[in-house]
Amino acid sequence: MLNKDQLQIGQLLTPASFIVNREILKGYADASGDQNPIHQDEDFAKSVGLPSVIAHGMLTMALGGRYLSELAGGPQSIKEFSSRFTKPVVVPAGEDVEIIFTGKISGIEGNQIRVDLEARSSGEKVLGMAKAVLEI
Amino acid sequence: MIKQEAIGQTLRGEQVFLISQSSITDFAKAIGQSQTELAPPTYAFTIIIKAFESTLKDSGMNWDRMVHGDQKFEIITPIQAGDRLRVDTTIESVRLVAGNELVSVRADIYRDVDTNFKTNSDSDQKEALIRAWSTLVVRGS
Repeated sequence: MLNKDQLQIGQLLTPASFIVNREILKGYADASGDQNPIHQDEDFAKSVGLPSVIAHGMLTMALGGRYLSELAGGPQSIKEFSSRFTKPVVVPAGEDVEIIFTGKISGIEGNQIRVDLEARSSGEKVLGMAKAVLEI
Repeated sequence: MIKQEAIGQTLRGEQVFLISQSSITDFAKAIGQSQTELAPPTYAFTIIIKAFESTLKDSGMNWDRMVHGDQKFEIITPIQAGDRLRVDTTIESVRLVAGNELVSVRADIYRDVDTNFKTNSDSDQKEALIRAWSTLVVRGS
């Protein structure tokens, strides 16, 4: 959790790592209503030129939201949240794929902080220009 | 292709989304989040995409070739169980880049007002909970 009395610009936030696998993709598809077969059907994903099934971009973003939420003390703390979907997270059958979130404070205004968020999987950035404004 | 006349238009959401606790809980569980009193910020996209599917298909978008390019949320009030919500869609711009159609579209989520009480839909009685901006990329064939 962020301590509001000890925040400074440039400060790195405690990283967190979340797992995605086929079961989680199915769970997200059901909960979000996004049943696009590129997130569940390996043959279909390959038929459209993907190496395998890929995670929903919105799932990766949602995990970023969870990361921020856990740092800031709840979903009500997130006032703005934006991201580009730059690179898909490939999820091979039977594997747990790790997504590592890190953040850096880029601005402080009153009780709001700006955070630059980074999400990496297999060493590659999977979200682009991910930013948030948190109220703490 | 998005019809030229649709650009700049705000399309009123006809569908009312009734938000149940179970849909919020399911979404939170799916992303491993333990708090379920308020919807996670990106939960909003689950209703936005449904509104987009109807309004943008009507505006001529080739829905089957669409991928999500970027997403921004501004959260004024988090969604919670019991909310009755509507989504207005505004196609802000359409650009053609390398054969792909880049559609910038805004969604305003607001509480549905009492339908027994006649209001001007353009009045400021709407309470915006969330404003969201998406870039949808329609891949060229």
